[in-house]
Amino acid sequence: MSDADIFKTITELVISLDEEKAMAAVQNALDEGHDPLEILQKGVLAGLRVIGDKFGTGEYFLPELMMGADLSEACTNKIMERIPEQANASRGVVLIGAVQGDLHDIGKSLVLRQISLAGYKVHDLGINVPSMTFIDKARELNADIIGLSAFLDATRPFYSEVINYLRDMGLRSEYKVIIGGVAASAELAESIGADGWAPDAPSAVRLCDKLMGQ
Amino acid sequence: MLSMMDIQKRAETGPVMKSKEFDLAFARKIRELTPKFNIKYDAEQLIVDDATADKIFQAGIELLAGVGLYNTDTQRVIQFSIEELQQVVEDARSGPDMVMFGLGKDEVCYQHRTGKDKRQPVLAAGAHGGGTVPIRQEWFSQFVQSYVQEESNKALAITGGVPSVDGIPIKVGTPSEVYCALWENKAMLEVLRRVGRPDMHLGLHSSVTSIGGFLALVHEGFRGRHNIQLSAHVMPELKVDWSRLTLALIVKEWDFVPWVSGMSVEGALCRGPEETAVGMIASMLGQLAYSNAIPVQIWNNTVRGEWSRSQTLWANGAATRAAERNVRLPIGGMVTTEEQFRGTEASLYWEAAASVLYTACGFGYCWSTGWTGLEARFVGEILTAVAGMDEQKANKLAKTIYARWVAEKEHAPPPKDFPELYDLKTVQPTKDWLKSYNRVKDELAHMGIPYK
Repeated sequence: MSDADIFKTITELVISLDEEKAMAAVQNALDEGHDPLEILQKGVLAGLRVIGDKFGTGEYFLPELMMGADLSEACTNKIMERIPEQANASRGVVLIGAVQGDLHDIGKSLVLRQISLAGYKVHDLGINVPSMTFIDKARELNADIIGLSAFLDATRPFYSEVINYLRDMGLRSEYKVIIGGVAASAELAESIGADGWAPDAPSAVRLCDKLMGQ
Repeated sequence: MLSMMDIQKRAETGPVMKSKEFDLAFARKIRELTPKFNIKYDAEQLIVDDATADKIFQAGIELLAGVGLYNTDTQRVIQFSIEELQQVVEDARSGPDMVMFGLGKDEVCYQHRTGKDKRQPVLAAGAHGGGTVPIRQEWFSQFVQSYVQEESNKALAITGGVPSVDGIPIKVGTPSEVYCALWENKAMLEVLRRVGRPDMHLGLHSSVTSIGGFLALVHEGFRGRHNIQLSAHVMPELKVDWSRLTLALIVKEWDFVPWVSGMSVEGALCRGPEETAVGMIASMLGQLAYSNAIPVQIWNNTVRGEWSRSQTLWANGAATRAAERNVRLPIGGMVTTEEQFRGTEASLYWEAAASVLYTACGFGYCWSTGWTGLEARFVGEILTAVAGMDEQKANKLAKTIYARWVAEKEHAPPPKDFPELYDLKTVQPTKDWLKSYNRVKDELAHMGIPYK
């Protein structure tokens, strides 16, 4: 099989969400000496992009994004064992959570799966997350971006609470802060000093790319 | 209904799993159920038949029995058996089919209603709020008054919604949540007194979500059993936490009325309207299992925040009929369109289509949670006109109006806020807004709404 055929097979197995066969195909490709970076980029990540597109067109749903993210993580971990450390980098580390008092989960879950599929290392802090937890976790995990989700008027002030903590602790320049959810808007993002706003999951990926200079 | 201490025990001893695992279990189960029960969306037949409604209900029982409720605090699953859920249903069926709100001349009865019933759904209209509609402190009183002064409006639906008071943002779980909510409530009660409907039901309060916030509202002469509903509902998909469960117990012990929301999201874990309808029923049953629950709200939207679609009409209508037939409680929901269409003629077409369809599906009450009180009048007139309409005639009429909405929304003008639609001094609609109302109403009459 040519390189192209092997990568295409991996891509198709990723798209079909067949973790067992995708992992086996990745292992075979590695054992046959194909370039690990190419297996990752032209095989696994190419498949993940299609999964994201299928979600956008309504062909795939949140469970497929979840399964795709798990599958990609397993494949990527296997491939990374063969990649020199300097090349072994994700596109960035992103923390996401629903702010304090906010229990809305689904929109946040979609965003974090899409960002994960785009190649970022994503940490889900869950719902009803105290403001200081975002900061403690960002420091602990050396995050690049902090994503704040809120649905209600009454939880929206916690966007700025996190940003104000960062500012008052002298940490604001170390992290990009993005906001999303029904309570967010471009105007609000600007007024509270956030680095950006995303109305939906694909926009959140583009926003992360922009902030990471990619 | 199970005892709350039993529910707590299950929440502390049920299977441990991460939220993601629960979500995947939910998705796997619901994907099994719609083919098993042969539930299919039909854009031509937006009102489902009795057999389909019953299949959706049964699938909802099996979904909840199959996956349970997820407690996000303990990360454990509250499990139910089929037999327990059947008993929950039986308890609901054999219990009261109505609930009273308001006092004296402002009293209103929310009662179980079938789609064939000539009695119209109760109109409950009022401020939307909750972070989805731009309401301002400066015109909040006039906004509320625009609804309260409409005679056909028997209660407010969902109240509050001012994002800040005197520049102080409402912030859940802090004193500002109480400060802002008290201001809103004083303003609303003043409006009620001014209009002469002092004991009208004020509905679900949307600005407060914490237990402390609710407690601050409930005292004599303010909010009480007769004029508030508290949201102790299941979050999509099938998730609860200690604060919701605790509030549910308080509501029950005080003999207050909870806000029950059979709510599901299309396009996330649920793929289409069929799965969404089943999800709504499971959500409703989940709350019936731990809470006293009259009336019941049915609601779905897409993951992109849309709901003015034929799939939504079908799913809401199907879940309404499924619930109405099987638990025999007053079922209701919202007929307003998305925020970006606020204050436009286009929004009136959607409200009309939804009002016709949901009345024929068995709404016992109807939320007109739009942008001005004039829409409450508009919706109320439709509810009166179409109650008892032949089912197939209603189906055809709803589709015709829906097609008009689809055509109109494509070139809808920019949205307008309340001060552009009402004279803030007289609290009456502007000439232009009134003209829109009359024009659309005339057109709907020609389409077949038999206005009385």
